[in-house]
Amino acid sequence: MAGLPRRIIKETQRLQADPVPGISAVPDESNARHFHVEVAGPVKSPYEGGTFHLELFLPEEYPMSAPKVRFMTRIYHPNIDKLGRICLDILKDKWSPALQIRTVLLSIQALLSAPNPDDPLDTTVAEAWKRDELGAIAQARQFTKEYAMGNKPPQ
Amino acid sequence: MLSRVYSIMAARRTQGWSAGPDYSSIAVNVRFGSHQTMYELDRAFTVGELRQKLSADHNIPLPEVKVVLAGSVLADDLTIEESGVGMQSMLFAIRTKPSATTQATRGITTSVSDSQTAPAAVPATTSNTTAGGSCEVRPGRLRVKCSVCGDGAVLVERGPGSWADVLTPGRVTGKCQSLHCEDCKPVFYFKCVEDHQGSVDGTAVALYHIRPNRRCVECITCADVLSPVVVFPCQASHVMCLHCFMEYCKVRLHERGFVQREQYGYTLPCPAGCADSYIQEQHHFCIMGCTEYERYKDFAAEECLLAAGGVYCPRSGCGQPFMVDTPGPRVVCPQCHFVFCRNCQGAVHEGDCSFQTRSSESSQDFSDPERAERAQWERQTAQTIEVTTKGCPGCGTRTERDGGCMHMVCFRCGEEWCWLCVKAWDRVCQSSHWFG
Repeated sequence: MAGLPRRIIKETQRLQADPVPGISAVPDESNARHFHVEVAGPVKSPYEGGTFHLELFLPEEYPMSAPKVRFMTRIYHPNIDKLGRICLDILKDKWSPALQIRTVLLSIQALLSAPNPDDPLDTTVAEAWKRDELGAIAQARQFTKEYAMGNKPPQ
Repeated sequence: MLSRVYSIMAARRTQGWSAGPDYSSIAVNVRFGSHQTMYELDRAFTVGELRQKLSADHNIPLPEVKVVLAGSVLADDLTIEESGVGMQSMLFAIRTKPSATTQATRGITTSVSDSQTAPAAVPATTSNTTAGGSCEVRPGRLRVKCSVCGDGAVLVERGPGSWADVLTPGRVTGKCQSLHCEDCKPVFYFKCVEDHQGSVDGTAVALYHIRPNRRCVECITCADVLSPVVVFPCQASHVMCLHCFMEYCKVRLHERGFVQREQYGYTLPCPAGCADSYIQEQHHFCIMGCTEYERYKDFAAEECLLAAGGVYCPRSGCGQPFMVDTPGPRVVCPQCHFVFCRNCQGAVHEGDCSFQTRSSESSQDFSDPERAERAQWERQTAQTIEVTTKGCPGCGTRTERDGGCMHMVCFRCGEEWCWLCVKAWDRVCQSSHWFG
């Protein structure tokens, strides 16, 4: 696409040539700033076995401002709300132009491995997590099975 | 001092500069003792030919005449163009005793280590003088002068080998050729590569974080390989191209993201968050352009004043900065005599501060008609501020929200607060107010 900054081209090429294990990010055919992302649920987490679809958008100001990322697949997680919005500092005030799509997706993968109910976005989930962790994990596993297995990418 | 040099040069930018490379000849001033003569020299003219000319003009045997630039005697076969002298530059002729041997050199900065040659220099001068016009970084020319008489007829024992040699007077020893100077030492400085006719002495600040990208390192932000680049002083020496550096500075300035550091002033670290990576010379921020640089200086002055315990008068139309030497929250502005609360910036009050109302004008006596009229005019501004902003519950700083979530972080006091509740961010806000 004309006018696409070299940084975005290079990041896209590297994401495809040297992908992060468990993560794929493919630019949309009609908009090179819009990525279709798939994150595999990390092993030993209640999301294991699931494939989570996300959308990632690079705003005009990128990399001076953070990418916008959202879960498209329903997920039971204290730091991700019903609309798929993510509570992650590097997507907000801790963003730096030295960070990349790759590092953002790695952070999201890490968030799936280590949910943080003390800094929740969805309090209902967070409360459940703190009150009955085993029950919450079972619920997360149930969501994974229901929404993130055998699911197709959203159109 | 340095900022004064820059501001003077910036003020004279209207004159622009005459382009160098298109000229077939170069006008050079040659000083010989107290005599100064201007020579119009062809670019291909050699130093040897210039020496012959000087020898004839001053009636001195040819072997005794030497031409000096930047602390070194220039070799005969060097052309004027190769010598690195610019339009209207000053060359120095000295007379040596017949027995004295002075080794001629072919260049002035060749001994500076590879990664540190050709430092860039302010003044960032362009012919574009409109407000907000971009400032260009230009290469600097290394020059040397005597610490006592200021004359350039100085011979140094060796060329500088590092930035420390250049920036620390006395590390490189040398001898002033004037008969009257004693206990003097050579002082290195930079001139802009462009000719600034009629400007101040042409001295420029060395932007030592900016270097030619000889190692072809990718910019940490855009991944392009460009030159010159900013090399952050972190252990990893992260590299950023000048365009991204400019954007980085502007974005951070806009977010009030610069930090005040005692050693370096109001500055920025490497974007990768490395330790000890602050830009150490504030003139690097001139790259943002004149308007933004002025704003940068205002912010820096404000941070400095506040850090030192000073305040700004909060009354619209005043804004007087001053130091407070009285204890307690009651402060009187020495300029407009407005009495205000230091904690909430509102008119002085009994009891706890309320950041919700801004009644700075309410208790004012407008017996002065001019002031009364101004207050009317400014009341509209105050109303706009009232409508579009909210006061930080920690320090009262008026804050505008231009997007994003409801979780606010005050740039001044660091308070995390909720835009909806206008109180400290808590678990309820986290779950229910994040996106409104």
